[in-house]
Amino acid sequence: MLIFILKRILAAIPVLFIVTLIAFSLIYMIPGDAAIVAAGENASQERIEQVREQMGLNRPAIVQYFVWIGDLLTGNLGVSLISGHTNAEMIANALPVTVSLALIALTWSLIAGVLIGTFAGLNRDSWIDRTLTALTTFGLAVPTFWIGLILVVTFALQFRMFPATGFTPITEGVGPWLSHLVLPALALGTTTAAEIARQTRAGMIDVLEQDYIRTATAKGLPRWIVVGKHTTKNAAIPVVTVFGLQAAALIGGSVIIEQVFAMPGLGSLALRSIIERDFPVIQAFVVVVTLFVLVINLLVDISYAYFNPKVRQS
Amino acid sequence: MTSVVTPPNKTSVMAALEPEPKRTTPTRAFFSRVLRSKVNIACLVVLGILIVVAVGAPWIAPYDPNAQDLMNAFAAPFSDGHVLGTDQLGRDILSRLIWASQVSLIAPVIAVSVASVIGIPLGLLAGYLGGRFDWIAGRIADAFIALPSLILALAIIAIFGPGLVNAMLAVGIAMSPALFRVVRGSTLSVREETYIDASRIVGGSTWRILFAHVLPNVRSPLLVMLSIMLSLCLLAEAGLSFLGLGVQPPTASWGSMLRAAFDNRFQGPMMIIPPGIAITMTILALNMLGDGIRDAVGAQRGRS
Amino acid sequence: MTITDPVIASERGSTDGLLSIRDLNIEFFARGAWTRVVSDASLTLKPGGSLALVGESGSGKTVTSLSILQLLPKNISRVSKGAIDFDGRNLLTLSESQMRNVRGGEIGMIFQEPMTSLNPVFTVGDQIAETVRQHRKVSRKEAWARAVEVLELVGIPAAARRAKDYPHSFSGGMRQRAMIAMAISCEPKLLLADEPTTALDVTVQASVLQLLRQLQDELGMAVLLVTHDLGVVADFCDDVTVMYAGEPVEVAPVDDLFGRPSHPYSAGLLRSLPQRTPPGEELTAIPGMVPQPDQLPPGCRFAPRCDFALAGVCDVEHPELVKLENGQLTRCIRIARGELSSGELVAAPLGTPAAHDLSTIATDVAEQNGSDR
Repeated sequence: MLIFILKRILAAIPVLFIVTLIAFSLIYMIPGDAAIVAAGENASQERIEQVREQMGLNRPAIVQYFVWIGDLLTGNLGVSLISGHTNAEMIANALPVTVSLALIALTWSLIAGVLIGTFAGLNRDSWIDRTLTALTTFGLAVPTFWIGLILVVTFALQFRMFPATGFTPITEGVGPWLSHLVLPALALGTTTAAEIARQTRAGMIDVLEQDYIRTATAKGLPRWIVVGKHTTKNAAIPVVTVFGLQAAALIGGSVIIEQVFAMPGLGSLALRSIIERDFPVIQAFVVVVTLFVLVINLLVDISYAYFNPKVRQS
Repeated sequence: MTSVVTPPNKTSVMAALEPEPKRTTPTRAFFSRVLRSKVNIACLVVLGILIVVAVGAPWIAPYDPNAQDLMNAFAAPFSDGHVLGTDQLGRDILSRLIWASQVSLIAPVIAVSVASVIGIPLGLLAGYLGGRFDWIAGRIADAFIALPSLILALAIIAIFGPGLVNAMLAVGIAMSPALFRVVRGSTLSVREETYIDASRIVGGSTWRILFAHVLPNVRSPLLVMLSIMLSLCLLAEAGLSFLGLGVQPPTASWGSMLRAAFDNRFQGPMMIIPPGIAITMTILALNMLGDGIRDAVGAQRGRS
Repeated sequence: MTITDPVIASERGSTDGLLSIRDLNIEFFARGAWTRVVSDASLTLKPGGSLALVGESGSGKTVTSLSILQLLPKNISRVSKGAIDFDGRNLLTLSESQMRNVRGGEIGMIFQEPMTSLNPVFTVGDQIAETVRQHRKVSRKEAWARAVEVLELVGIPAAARRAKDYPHSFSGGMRQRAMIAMAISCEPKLLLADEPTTALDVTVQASVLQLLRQLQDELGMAVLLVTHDLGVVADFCDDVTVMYAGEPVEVAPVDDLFGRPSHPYSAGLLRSLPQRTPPGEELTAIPGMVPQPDQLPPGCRFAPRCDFALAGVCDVEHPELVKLENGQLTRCIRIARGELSSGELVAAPLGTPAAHDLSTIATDVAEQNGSDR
């Protein structure tokens, strides 16, 4: 099992390496003089040179790459051109917001998705199934940020049940923390819930048709054990896959949701740095996010080994 | 053999054993299978109507989409003359919606084309050649896939600047690895077929083999993937335009109309409805059509 | 927990069948209508005895066996008539919780595909112990011990260690043995075996059958073997019921069936056995196909494929199962009437009209000219 984990980590390293290359080379792809673009067209020559040095453009690219990698490995993610804060600090400030949002969204979408999918799969082709499947299909088609807009207008502005904007850290109380997160997490998790529901239903149906389910029934096991025990682990694998993919996709979705709800999370940070052409932040951001996604993928892979014994030997 | 009793179902047995008359090609059979489902037909009709609306915008739209009428701003839906109401500058929302459909329908096509131009040839090559090329291309694809596509698109926009074309280029690049993977996977399985060996023996060049022989057989999963991509790119365009990084004013897309609705949410909350419905409907039609194609492909697979 | 004392079949005095299926009719819902797939199936199995249910695919044999434990999908199938008596109760009248006690506890079942019939995510020992705990009030440890015990019984080496393995690390034959172990773990009185050896290599088949016979002797268990392979039947079963197109067409003790088949279909099956074909001759099969349940011919269902069928007799009335003097049951009208003898069934090679009654054929052939060959 440990070897399995190590192998997976080893496999992720080349990917991470290429990502750093991509992130690094972003600056060099800018048409024209990158320093001017970053400093702004009206900047003084002095400022432009300052930016050029900050971004390491005065060094040969290869050397700068290793300087940058060295910095990353020692925890120095660079400094923002605009604000002067370290990128690490800015990311650390924004992280709790996005993580809270993602956590709530993933939690509710997992629970709702699995429940809906299981229910639909167990009652295949019944009216329950048809209704739930229609709901799922619709849920997949609706843009999450549109749902966010509707929720904000209805529940925050019209009915004033929840705050429309902002974020309160959990340290200041679970209640306020949650109330700020309810609407955005609800919107953000819609697509994920629908995907999980669809995959759970398919997995359920697939497993229920398997011979070993018939064997379990032939052994005299009650239905709830047959369904609960014998289907779960087998149906879990595709669901976990979808969950992992969705967790990564949520990061993209949160960019827009954070705008709708004015939350100072990673998404807002990314957007701001792009509009302001704050390249060091963008670079650091890309690497951090990818690392995050790779970790999620690793966890998903490890869970496969738990669910499917055959995988443990590979 | 002869039997002394007339066998009522012998003839049906004999008929069943005869080869099927070859009147349809696999392509035609595929299309007829797709068209057999009422849902698929409905989706095609919806998409067809959307295309007609987009193309016929100059004739269909009741008003000039940019004609402002500040006295009549934020008119409610169904108020006189404006079925969907007016926006913050008094412009008719229905007309803007109709004109915006041009952008919102073209944009995904651009993005998917970009993704295809990058992903399909590389996928074919990687699957066919294997070896180091495949490994490197695979790792690069993994890296791109690890990056959430919206983030990657944002990064590319950061380099080249906002605008519809740039945005769709970015989205296309971000989506190409997924296409690469699907094509590579199918190519791997097709590669082992003997007709590939046959054409290689005859002396076909690699590109000719790839496009003439491999690609047609990779069509099915590719088609499913493309329909999924169209709806994803539509969503991406809407999102990017909402963020102000896609279409730039005065051009409107459904996404930018949602942004305007959001900016004016206190005065005109109803504005968020029409563009959202338009986007949802289109994505729904594309998704369900994609499912229908997948089922038709699966049915074909199941038969052989 | 101890193994029950082995009960020898002959010591049980009762001549009542352990399992008695009477006039069983099963319908399936397909293409908008209920169609009968099993008609008037009947069979009797003595305690400790062994019966083979033989037929091609589409004969209804598997459906019949699944219906005993009510394993057929509930919304597209139903038993429209008949009774399944087991150990004094009609299984069809039992409630679901009563059936659960029967399943695995009194009747065990093994299936054709051992590869897919075991849950891949649980160890073999787990799955057997689960069965034991379901039917006996024992602790986890005791259930596990029983699982190991029963794995040894079926001949799996290093059973204690292997019980902790997952199904995918077992070979096909071992997996089937494990399934058998699971099915007998609660000492059922009856074992239903649905094509247990079909998916196995020929060499493994023999050993699995031998195991079944050994377990029968040791545990006094009755076995209902469902198969399409007469070769398997010969060495294993006492009695045979041959099914065709959803109904039994011949019921006989195994030696009688092989020596004196009383139905053209049985004869055809025998004739097509590779073992019965002299070397150098082509293997033959019964020409034609089993009719679909919704396209049954009038009269005898086998008539269209039968070399001995007689127009005006075999294609008119649907024949009943008739008891012959020697105790065999047959659904062949002509055999029942004595017009046809078992010897003739066996002698005539497949695919040629029986040459015994030229006068009736002559006029028929004139009509037949132009159709078929």
